[in-house]
Formats: sequence, structure tokens, C-alpha cells
Amino acid sequence: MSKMNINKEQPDLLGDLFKRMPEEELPASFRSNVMRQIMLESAKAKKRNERFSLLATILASLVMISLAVVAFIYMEIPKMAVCTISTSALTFYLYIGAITLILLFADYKLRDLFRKKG
Amino acid sequence: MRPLSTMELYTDTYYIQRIQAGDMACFACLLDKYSRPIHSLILKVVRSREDAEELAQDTFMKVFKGLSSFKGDCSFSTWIYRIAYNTAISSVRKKRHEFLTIEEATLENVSEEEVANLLGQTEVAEQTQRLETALGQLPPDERALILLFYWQEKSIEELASITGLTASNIKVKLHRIRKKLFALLKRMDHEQDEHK
Repeated sequence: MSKMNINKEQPDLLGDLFKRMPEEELPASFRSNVMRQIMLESAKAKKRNERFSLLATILASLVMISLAVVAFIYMEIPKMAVCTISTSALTFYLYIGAITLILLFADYKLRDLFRKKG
Repeated sequence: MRPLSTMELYTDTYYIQRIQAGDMACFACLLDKYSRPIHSLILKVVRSREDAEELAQDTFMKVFKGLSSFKGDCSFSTWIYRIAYNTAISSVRKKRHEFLTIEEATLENVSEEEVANLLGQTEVAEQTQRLETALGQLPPDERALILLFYWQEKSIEELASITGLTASNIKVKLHRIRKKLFALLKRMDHEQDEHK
């Protein structure tokens, strides 16, 4: 080990030889290829995060709804009486609810279409 | 994100923070700084232009994907070289190559002075050519180690961090690789003389 020249300040035959060795040229399309892949990966990651956030929101909502149902029906918190709805009124409420959902869905789709065209 | 001082502008840390904050275009700056040395190193290790381009691209993709987990335990430069080294070595390990074995006695009988004298009689371009040929006869891990030390001018500590070997192990390996290179350069000179 004594002959091993690991101190780069001392003159070294191999050090001099390696210094003269040129760096290789990069392929012309290298930078654009890598940046394209980076942008694609970034877009994928963004989409993945959006999906994860949506899933987390849905799960959290379901948990909260379940807790509310359990508390309200089984544990009877708060103590209150719920009057039953008559069958004819229920059909009307379902009809109104369905119309609201359809309109919300149409609004979402039209906004999406507008954003894509813009 | 904490405010950046003027001194930090244009350092690797600055670009990494910008990328982590969502400014992906900043990756181009890191790419401009490291792509050429990383590609050159990989090319010298794998010795195939097509493979080197693909592996260099792989390296930068791994860097991008792992950037969020980069904690700064070592410098960014050491980290990127570690990824490039592992990518190149894993690739060549998959392909079985046969390498020249040099007897221990031959390694012991060659000195730096002797090789320096022999090389002194040849032209500079010829010397570089011979070094490239000798490098080609080394196993890829040894080639990578000597290239990182001499060509990319990495310190023993940086080499230990890049390769995962201990500093003393690196020193022993470098000593043996140097001896091998001297033996190969000497052999090349003898072969040249025989041809004449």
C-alpha cells in the first residue's frame, strides 16, 4: 500500500493519463428525451396523487356517514324522534333528488368539455 | 419552503428544492450539469453507446423518482454517481463477460517508473489510446472504480459512499487496479515491439 498514490496532489502517471482522456459527447436528443420522460412521469404522479386524494375523501366521507348512522340509529344520539315519511311523499323526494343529481352530473360534464375546448 | 439566501442560488440544493416544490423544468439544470459526466462514465463502464444512452436515461429517471426521498446525507453529486454506478454495474452483471486474469507475480514485477519510461517513448494520443484499451480489459466494477477516482476525481470517502465499500477496501482495490493497468500497459508495449 505504501506505493499507492491516493494523494492527488503528488504527480501520478495514471492521473496525468486520465486527465487527458476526453469526455464522451452526449447524443443530441438525450436532453429532450429525458425531459419528456420527466414531464410524463410528473403528470402521472400528479394524476396518482389526485386519485389518491379523491379516494381518501370518499373513504373519509363513508366513515363519517357510517359513524353518523351508528350514532343516530343505534346509540340514539341526539335523542329525537323522526317522523316517518308517507310513501307518496317519498316518491316525490326521490324524484327531486334524482333530478338534482342528473343536473349536477350534466354540469360537471359540460364544464369538463368547456375546459378541454378552452 | 424556507426562503433561500443569495448564496444558495444555482446550487444543487436550490434546484432540488424547486423541483420538490413542483417546478419540474428545474430538472433540466441538473441534467445540464450532470448528464455529460454521468453518460461518459456509464459508456466507459458498459462499453456500448446504445446501452449507455439507455442507462444514463434510467439513471436520471431514478434520480427524479427518488428526489423526494433524498435527505442530503451525502452531496447530490455523490448520490447521483451512486445511482449511475449501481445502474451500470447491474446492467453489465446481467451480461456474462470474460476478463483477463493477470498472475500475482506479474503484478508485483511491474513498477510505475518502468511504465512511465515505456509510455514516455510514445505520443500523447497513443498513450490515451493504450489506456483506453487497458481499461477495456478490466472487469466493469474495477473500471468504474478507477474511472471515478482518476477521471471524475472523486475522493476515497466519496468512492466509499458511491460503492458502499469501506475506505480501506477502496484503497486496496485501487492499488491492485493500478498494478493491473501498469501490467497491461507494459504487456501492450511488448506486443507492439514484437509486431515491429
